[in-house]
Amino acid sequence: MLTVHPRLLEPDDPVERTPVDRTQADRTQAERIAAAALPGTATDTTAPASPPEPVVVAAPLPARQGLGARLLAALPGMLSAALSLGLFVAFWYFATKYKLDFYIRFNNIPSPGEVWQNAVILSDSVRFYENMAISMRRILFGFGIATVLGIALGLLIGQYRPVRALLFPVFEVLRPIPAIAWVPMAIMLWPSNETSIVFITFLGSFFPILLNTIHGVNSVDPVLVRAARCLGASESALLRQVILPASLPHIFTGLAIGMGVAWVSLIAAEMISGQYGIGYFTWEAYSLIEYADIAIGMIVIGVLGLACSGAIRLVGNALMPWLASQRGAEK
Amino acid sequence: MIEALSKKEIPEASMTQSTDRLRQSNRGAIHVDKVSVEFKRNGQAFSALAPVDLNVEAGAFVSFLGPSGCGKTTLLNVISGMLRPTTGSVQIDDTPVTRPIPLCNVVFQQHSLFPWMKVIDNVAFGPQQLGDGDPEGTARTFLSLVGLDKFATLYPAQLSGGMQQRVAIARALATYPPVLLMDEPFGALDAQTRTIMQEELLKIWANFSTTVIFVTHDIDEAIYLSDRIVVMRTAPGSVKEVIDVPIPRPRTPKIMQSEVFSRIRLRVIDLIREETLKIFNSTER
Repeated sequence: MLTVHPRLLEPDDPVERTPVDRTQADRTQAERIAAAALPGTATDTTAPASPPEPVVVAAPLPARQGLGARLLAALPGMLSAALSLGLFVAFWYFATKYKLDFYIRFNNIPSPGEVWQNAVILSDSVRFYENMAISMRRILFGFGIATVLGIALGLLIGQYRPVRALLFPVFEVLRPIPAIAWVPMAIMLWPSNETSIVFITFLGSFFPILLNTIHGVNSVDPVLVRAARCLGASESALLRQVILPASLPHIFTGLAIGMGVAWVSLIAAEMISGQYGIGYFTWEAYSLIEYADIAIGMIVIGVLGLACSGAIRLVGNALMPWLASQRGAEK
Repeated sequence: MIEALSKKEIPEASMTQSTDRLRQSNRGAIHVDKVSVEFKRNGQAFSALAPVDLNVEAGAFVSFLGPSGCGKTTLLNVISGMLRPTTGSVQIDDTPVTRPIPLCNVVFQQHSLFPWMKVIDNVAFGPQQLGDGDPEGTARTFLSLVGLDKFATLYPAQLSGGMQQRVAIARALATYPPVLLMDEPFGALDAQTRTIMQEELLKIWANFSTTVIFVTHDIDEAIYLSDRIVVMRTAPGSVKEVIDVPIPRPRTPKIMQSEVFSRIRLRVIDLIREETLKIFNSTER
């Protein structure tokens, strides 16, 4: 999943991309969608493909049995997921085929077939990948800056009363203003459209990250702080080695929420003031009466958002290995 | 410092009678001078600790005993520097205690290990803060002292409660503090583990010339472990009586059947009963 992003993050050299590259990106994307739809299908197809090795009996056999057993156990879940998605697509298909019109109107809604056809065409369009890459870059910058600032300020505000007294009132006043409400002001504030969109994305994710970090610092077990102080920890060691790691679970909750809000803000900003970006693509499709592309834009936004949340979960699990052992101990 | 540790290879030598051992060590004398603590509760001043005077010789094992709410933990917090007394002062050797200083480390009741650090890193934390050249090596030494060197790379949550407390003891000792403060360290353990931990603690302590302040409400535990028991008075907390425990060391659980033990036990029970009744009746009203 993650290996796809770096390529997408290089919007400067889209021309250099060979057709082979594109089909690869396409395939990985298709796999990703398939994997999202049916967890386990990727392993399902690879398992029989690996040649059996009858000579080495003991080791691989139980492993394969284990895999088979695992697939068997996952089968009911996979079937119900397939059924659920199948029903959705079937409803979509029939609703658009018979142009259902009962208060909500399916007259102009593209059918699954049209969407698929357009997707095939778009998969050859450099412009389309550029739009994805630009959106991802905005997320990376906006969310990245929000992460650094949100965690740093959150730690300071949570830990030091004077910092809290100085900064928190400002944030309390600004926080209830949705990031999207900043769009006109942001356009005036920042020198370019690009920076203002990144700013909107930043604003969306900054407050969830900040507030959750503060909450994390406030809920650190005081016994741990006392133990660290007794053991001779200086203020900075206390902050780095105790307060920060102790707050990490809350911080990652903030990051997960922040990532969601970042996408909401980004898409809105791109639709309102944007040039380029997947949100702009989706809105432009409406203006150009390319209705099938609207659905494609929506699906891609969903998939990218899902991938970003997944990346945060992965990083979180890697940074907090002790949580897994705690969960194990509670069983 | 190194001498203190190397003693563990010849534990027999240090397991002499308590009075001899007291004379041997010269660090960790505690002087509590007219310490009182007042809290504000609902705008009213509430006295948690009436003026307390207490001297603990270097290397002694002293228990604070009393019913809950007698201020024994408050007094411990003042000695550790985590709580500033309203009046009076505390000195460890010649150093006045006004904030947490590495002269005394605390073993808390439970869950005081850093859950995100592996066992070895927990123990190495103190040495690392104090600029020990080889914090990991020191940590390993102390882990093997409490018999947990095999579990160095596990996280605290993967250990049993008793093992976690042994790690906590190793962590507290790893900076060679002259004073070890223990706040009901075995209070959350089951009875069997608790007994074993008490024996274990005595063995470990025999290798260190460390003063131990041990807060508990378990009478047998206090007598079994201590050179001296400070029975606390309640509401406000203060020292009711200091009782010597003239039972020679090394001690085994067998001493609990001795005549001296029962005599001290009866005396302590009487004292505590008076105090508990006082609280009981005042809350009844």
